[in-house]
Formats: sequence, C-alpha cells, structure tokens
Amino acid sequence: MAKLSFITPKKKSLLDIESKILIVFLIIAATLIIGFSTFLFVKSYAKGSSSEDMSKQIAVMSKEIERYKYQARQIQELRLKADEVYTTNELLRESIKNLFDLVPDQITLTRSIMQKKRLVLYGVTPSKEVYNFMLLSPLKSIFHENKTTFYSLENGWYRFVSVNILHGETGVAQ
Amino acid sequence: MIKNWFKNLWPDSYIVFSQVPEGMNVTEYINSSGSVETVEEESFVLEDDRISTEMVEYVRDFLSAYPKTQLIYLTSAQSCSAVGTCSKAEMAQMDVDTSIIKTICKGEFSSYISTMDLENDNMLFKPLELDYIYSPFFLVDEVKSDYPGTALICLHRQNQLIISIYKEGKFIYGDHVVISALEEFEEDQEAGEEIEDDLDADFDLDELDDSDLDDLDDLDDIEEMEDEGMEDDLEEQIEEDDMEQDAELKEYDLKIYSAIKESIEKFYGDESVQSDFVEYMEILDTVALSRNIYELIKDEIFCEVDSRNIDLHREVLELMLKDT
Repeated sequence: MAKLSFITPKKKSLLDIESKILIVFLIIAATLIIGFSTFLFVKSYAKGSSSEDMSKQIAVMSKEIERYKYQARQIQELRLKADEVYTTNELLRESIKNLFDLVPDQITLTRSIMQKKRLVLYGVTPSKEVYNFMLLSPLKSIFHENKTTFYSLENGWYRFVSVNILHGETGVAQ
Repeated sequence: MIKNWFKNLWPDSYIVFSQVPEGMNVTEYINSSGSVETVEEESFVLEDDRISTEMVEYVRDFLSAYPKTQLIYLTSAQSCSAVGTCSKAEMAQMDVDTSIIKTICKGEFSSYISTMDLENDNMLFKPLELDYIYSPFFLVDEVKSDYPGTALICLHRQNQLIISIYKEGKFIYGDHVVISALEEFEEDQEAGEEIEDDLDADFDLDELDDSDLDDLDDLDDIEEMEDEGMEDDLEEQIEEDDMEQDAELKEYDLKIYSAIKESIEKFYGDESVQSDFVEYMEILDTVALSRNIYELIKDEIFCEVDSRNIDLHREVLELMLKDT
C-alpha cells in the first residue's frame, strides 16, 4: 500500500479479458474431458468386473450344461434301454402269445422258462403223440434243437420237459 | 516455488513518466533477479495536452509482455507544493484551501496537489491508467543530502524548480516554481544589469586605444575584403549563432537564479514559517545547468552550493519501491 502516492494503484491482472475468457473455456473443456474420461474409466471398470462375473457365470453354466448333457445322455441311455426293454417285452409278449397259441388245448403247461436262446417247457400231455404232433412240430420250426423228456403219470398221461435251443443271433428275451 | 516461477515469467516491471516542455519522457524498468534494470528510454510529444497514440502503443506493447507493470508518474502540476505541517488547521492558516486539494503527509510535512490537477494528470494519461502519482517534494526529501543547519534543496527539472527548505533536517518551507510562468527576464532589473555588464565587457569602445585603431583596416582595403568575403561571412555567422545560443543559456541560468532568489525572499518574508538564514544549498539537477550559476549563487546569495546530477526516473522508481 503506497502511502506517498496521490492515487491508489489498481489491482493488476496478469490476464486481459480475452485471455480470461479463453482460460475459462479451456478449464470447462478440460473439466468435460476429465469428467468424460472418468466416466469411461468407471464404466469400463464396471464392464470389466461384470465381464468377470459373466465369465464365472459362463464357467458355472458350462459345468451345468455338461452336467445336463451327462444327465441327458444317461436319460437317453435309459430311454434306449427302456425302449429295448419295451421292445424285448413286446417280443416276449408276442413270443409268449405265440407260444401259448402254439400250445394245443389237450396239453397243459405247468411251467415255462424262457431264456434268450432257450425255451424250457414243463407240462402234461395226454399222450406222446399229441405232444409230438401238436406241439413239437411248431417248436421244431422255430428252434434249431429240441429235446423232450416224458414222465408217465398214474392216469396214463405224461409229464414232459421240453428243452428248445436256438443257435445264432435270433432268440427270445428272458 | 510457484511464486518464483510466476516471478520469472512475469518479473516486477515499472514504467516511469515525467513531463518535460517538449513532451513526455518514458523509462521502462524490469526487476530481473533482484536488480532493477533499465529496459528502454523514450521521449514522446504530447497531442492536444494528451499523451500521443504512439506513446500509448509503446506503453501497451510493454504491458502486453509484462501485465503487472506499475505506471508511475512524477507530477509536474503547478499546484503541487508542500508545507511543513500535516495539520489541516495549520495549513488553513498558511492560506492553503484544504477543501480543493489532496494532501499526503510524510513525517512532519505534507505535500498537496489540487484535485483538479490530479484529475488532469489522470486525464493526461487516458487511456492508460496510472498506478502512482508522486509529489516531487517527496522525491527531494528522499534524495537530499543531510545538512545540520538550514539548507535549501532545489530539484531542477526543465523549466521547473522544486524548492524545499530544511532546518536541522526538518522540512519547513516548500515552493514550486515554473520558469515559463516567471515575468519576462528583461523586466527583472537586477538580472538585466548582469547581462548588460557581460555584454559591455565584450564591446566597450571606450577601452579601445590608438594601437587598436591602427589595427583596423583602411577603407581602401574594403574591396579586397569583399573578394575574401564569403568564407569570413560564414565564420561570422557561426560565431553570432554560438553567441546567441550562449546568451539563451545564460538567460535560462539567470532565470533559474532569479527564481531561487525570489523563492528565498518569499521564504524570508513568510510569516507563517520560522525563517532562518539559508546556509547551504544543494541543487539536484536533472538537466545539467552551467557552472556559472553556482558561482553566481555563491556570490549573490552568500551560501555554500553543491550540485548533484540525478537520474530523475531512477530516483522516482526508488521512491516508489521504498513506498510500497
């Protein structure tokens, strides 16, 4: 503060009004750039973290998919097995139906064992001829090998055990 | 660190102005690493009592490079004077109208300027804006040598005298004399006699004796002289011009002497101040007066005279630096 001057000095500014305006605009521009950069940085960071989460989720989902695929394969296998069983059962049912269709009224079956390539029949026949003509003939047309054993009963009938064997691929389910 | 960086980028800078009869003297200074150095000195003419556009451009060029430049002006206003008191009541007793002046007190004395002249000084520099306007009396107070008795310190600017009288180092009387405002020199009887004496010494016919008359050429030789005439005429013309210039200088010196003498007489006659015999005179010269004036003062005013050439603008700058 000048004590001896007749006037008081005015405050000096380093910049004229044009420079001040220019600097204000530069500051605004710099602020916008910095703000936008910060926004982008934050966004990209958030994106990064979310992509990491997504990767983890993808990994989990992949495992889930693998598990489901495995389950699907198992189900498929089960289904195939079920189909196979169903088919076998169908075949078996057909075979049993055919078998029972084969058995004439005079012969009574007491027991039958159906294996894949073997059919064992237990029953009672009034006579060996009835058995041979009416049951053995159709069995022979189906099985490659037939063995029959007769046991005579007191009433003159015969208990028989017929073992029929198939060779090769074809056969019936148990 | 940032402050130093700013200091290096925009060092303290100053422009000092002082008015002279021919126009305005301008000096630019820069404070580079602690020492104030002169950048440039320039003089400009005034246009209709205003600084010229050329000067405005000159100053603005400097301001654009150094925006914090301080503009300092040593006023030349005729109303600027000083009195040996800071009391307005005492100033009123000395016929100073305190209602129309701006007063600055320094220690036990004050300098003042009329508000109109202060406004004129500001207007003179439009469109520039001055930062400091200093009184030359404060400058004298800073620059003067110490003297134990009653001393008259005279700051001589072109056509201006700032006269300060100190008693035991204390300011007691101030006078601001503008030389051009003085009465015509020829009307000053005493000073006029001095000039006549000088002229008589060169051309007194009574002092010529017969041998001198014999040395004069006969009228018959005049024709021969006409043949040789041209070169002699030129030499005579130059001699006459030189004499005229010397006479002008002498006239200015005598005006200065006359002004100082009048001021001292006013001091002796001023009842408001405790007058005392002026024993010592120091002339702070900014223009370079001839040596004759010091002899004249010694002989006529009977006091010891010292003179010192000062760099006015540098001293104004020093005053401002000391003041802020």
